[in-house]
Amino acid sequence: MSLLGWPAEKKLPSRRRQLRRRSVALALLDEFGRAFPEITYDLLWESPTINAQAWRVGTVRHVRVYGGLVRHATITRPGLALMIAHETGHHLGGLPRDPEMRWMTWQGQADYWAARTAMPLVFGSQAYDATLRGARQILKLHEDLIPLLAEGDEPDLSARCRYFIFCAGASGTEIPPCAKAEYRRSFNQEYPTNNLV
Amino acid sequence: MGALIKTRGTKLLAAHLNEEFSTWIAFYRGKANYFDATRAGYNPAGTGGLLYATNNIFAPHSLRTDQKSLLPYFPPGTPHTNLENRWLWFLNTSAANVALGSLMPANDIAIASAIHKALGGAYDSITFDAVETSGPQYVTVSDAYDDGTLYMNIVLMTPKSIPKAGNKATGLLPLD
Repeated sequence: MSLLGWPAEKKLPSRRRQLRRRSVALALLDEFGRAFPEITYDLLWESPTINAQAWRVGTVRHVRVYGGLVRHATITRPGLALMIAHETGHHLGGLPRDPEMRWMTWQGQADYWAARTAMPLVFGSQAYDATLRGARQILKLHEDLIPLLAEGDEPDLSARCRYFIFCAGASGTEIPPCAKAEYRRSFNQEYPTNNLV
Repeated sequence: MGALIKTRGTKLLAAHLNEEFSTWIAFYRGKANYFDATRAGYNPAGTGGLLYATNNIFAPHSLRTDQKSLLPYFPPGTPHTNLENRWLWFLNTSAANVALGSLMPANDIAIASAIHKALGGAYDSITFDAVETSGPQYVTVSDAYDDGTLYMNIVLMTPKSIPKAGNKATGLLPLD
């Protein structure tokens, strides 16, 4: 039993693939650590959880990637990078914040910031391609995981909308209408139209 | 909790507690004794600690029919029965539950004491978060400021109990 109830891997990839994946993840975390020194990044390799997480302890900002995500067959370097960028976005993505967890940037805005700001900082001229590849992987991952989640425990932002948000961020266009609609639906309040929330 | 896969059920629980200890913190200031782990009768082992508070604090503002305000309200037709059961199981610090990964008595005391301190102090709110960790379960408590308000941040660091963390027998490689 897990308190968080997050999906977990059912089987492990080959030893060779594990070594490769771990190496890629550690290198990415190192790159993000250099780009965003105010964030403490780590990998919980032994965890089977297919997820990543952002949290704070006082003023210290953490991002943790779980082993089950790194080893997942659907996810390669661009997908993993976009996920790390997304978690970083919970800390640095700006407004709007999550109305139910006021310290952090809302899920959709964290996606948008990841694609628009973090990926270019880490990937430079390769950011656009890497972001779109990563976005497709995350869409596929969601589709893989939905059947594993408990009834009624579906993600609070639809996979398709997240894909559109990533694409908008990568293209430098405005956050798409689906994001605002899903924000309204999730929190039963209007999507903030200014930077006062 | 900021997470890549942020599910409604787990988020609902954290959001509920955060709402209770922000919007309704004045109500809980009047119930602070429930969280005083130093008082006679506070027994974190089994059902005597936070689980007791959860089952015995009733508030008029709760939308639940039983008015247990530390438990979330589920609108009719919302399939979250398992979430509540899982949470109640987790708060039960009996030896049998702890062996399977529930809240440890020492951490029950740590959380209760932090809540008690915040309710008696100048804090505007208390926020709760849970993070998966590889080591033993523990609790971090820290002060934080946002938008000029002081709040207490309580983070439960807890291992994923099932399946067991990897080892040679499972073929999982250790982290260097």
